[in-house]
Amino acid sequence: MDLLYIKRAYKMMNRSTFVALLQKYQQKTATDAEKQVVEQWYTLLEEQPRQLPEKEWLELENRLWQKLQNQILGLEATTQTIVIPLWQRTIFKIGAAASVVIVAALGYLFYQGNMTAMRTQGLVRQKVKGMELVVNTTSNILPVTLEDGSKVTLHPQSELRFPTHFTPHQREVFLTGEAFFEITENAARPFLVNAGQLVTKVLGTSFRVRAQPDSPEVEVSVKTGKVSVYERAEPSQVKSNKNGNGVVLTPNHRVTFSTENKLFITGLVEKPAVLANIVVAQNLSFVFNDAPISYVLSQLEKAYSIDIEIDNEGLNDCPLTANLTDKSLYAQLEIICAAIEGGYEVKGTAILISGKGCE
Amino acid sequence: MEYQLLSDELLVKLLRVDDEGAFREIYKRYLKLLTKAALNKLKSNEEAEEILQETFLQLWEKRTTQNIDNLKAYLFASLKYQIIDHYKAQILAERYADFIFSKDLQPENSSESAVNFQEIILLFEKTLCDLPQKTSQIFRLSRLENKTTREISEVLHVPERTVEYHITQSLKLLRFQLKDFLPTVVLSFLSSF
Repeated sequence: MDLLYIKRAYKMMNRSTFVALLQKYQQKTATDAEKQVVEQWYTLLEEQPRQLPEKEWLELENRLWQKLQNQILGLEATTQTIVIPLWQRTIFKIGAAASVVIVAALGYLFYQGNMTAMRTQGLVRQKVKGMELVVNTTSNILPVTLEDGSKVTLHPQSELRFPTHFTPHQREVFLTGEAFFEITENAARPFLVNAGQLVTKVLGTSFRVRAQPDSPEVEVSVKTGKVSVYERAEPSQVKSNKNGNGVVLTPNHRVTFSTENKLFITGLVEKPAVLANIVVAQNLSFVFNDAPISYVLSQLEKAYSIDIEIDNEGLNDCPLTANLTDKSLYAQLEIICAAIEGGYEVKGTAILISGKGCE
Repeated sequence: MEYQLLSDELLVKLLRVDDEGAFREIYKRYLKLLTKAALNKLKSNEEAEEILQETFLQLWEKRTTQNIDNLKAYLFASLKYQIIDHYKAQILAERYADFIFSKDLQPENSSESAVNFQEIILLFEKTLCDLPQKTSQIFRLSRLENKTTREISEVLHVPERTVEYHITQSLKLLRFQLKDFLPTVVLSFLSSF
């Protein structure tokens, strides 16, 4: 019999990906190929065939029926008592302390949460040695609040790891998957999000990070505030106190980092939103009466924190009379462009307006 | 009422209207088969018991909303779902265990390129095809057609011990070939030596 040695053309599936795969299979959202892989894996699970002696079998039948009766009548939370021996057996091989066993057992217990009504949270939470690991195994987004009051909205199949108590110099967390962050202001203690190979550093702001385990890209989008995004330094680089490449993002901007070619691609978020605090602070108004286009555009620039360029200086003085309040950025641009018989284009992180004019 | 005499279809209908006697009969009728199947996929009797309990519990809890065509197939599918859930939790807990004991608290590195499922599928098939004809035939009958050892031995006119041997051989090779690509296969793989 020839043994096959096939060259590794691709990486091994890590456990997170495999768990996500099993989840897809259970929720019937797996592709045909994914289904087949799970079913192939399933055929390989086999323990030594063992028979139960008749006596044991009858005992099992009765015992199990008793438990079912109790559960159906709601008299007993039976699954709890069975879970702990299970984990003692597995964790014992690693040689763990008793407290770890209980934590792991509880983790297992909580993990089964999506099966019975008894455990509805579905947010697996493990806490060991001051570090917490939160896994969202449900299909809804769920909020997690950190020690400093920052709020992380965790997407399905995502996990966040963070210390219960932040260190005095910084607030550092680790993300796999996707989450929206609303970070409390604290200049003395920057907030760092590690996701994939990127570190996103903020002082106080709200932004979204997307780092899915099976995607070669990491994406960071900013809603308010300012963040700096850079490649996580290899241990060898830390000595020279130099972080890898990076960009600074302002609201309505986003960056996509490709792990394959180590490129940062900056651009705008899909639906730029007005920065409420700036509008209020600078008393910005979107009602224009014969206002020159240059003024209109500068108001928009301030409100959105996005660069807007015009390619024809002559257009600057064209007058505009319009009420642009409560419209999306792109709708506002449409109106402006209509007035100058022109159009707009998003180029990277800026918007370019071109037009024929208003003569 | 003599539930023992009733067909599966009738029992399913009765179950839908909360008939506990029907539930008891279904339990008695299928427990042994399901237990054998569960013992094949799980390491300990306790694990098997818990999963069987959950399977029947689900049957009861979903009795009014379920639309069961084939009771036997439904129960086996439900059992499979529970077993997969069990392994899913186990893999996650392994990660936690690693996390607890690792000094370096980095998250698991994402696979650098997307996993190629087609390659895994092909590797599995190729390995199977490269086995001696009888071995792969027995494996397919056992795993892909879910036939019991006894059924296979009857159909192919070979002793049950031989059937078990061929299944063990194919499992050994398949697990060896796929150990780099499917994480939990390593667990079972190691235990078979």
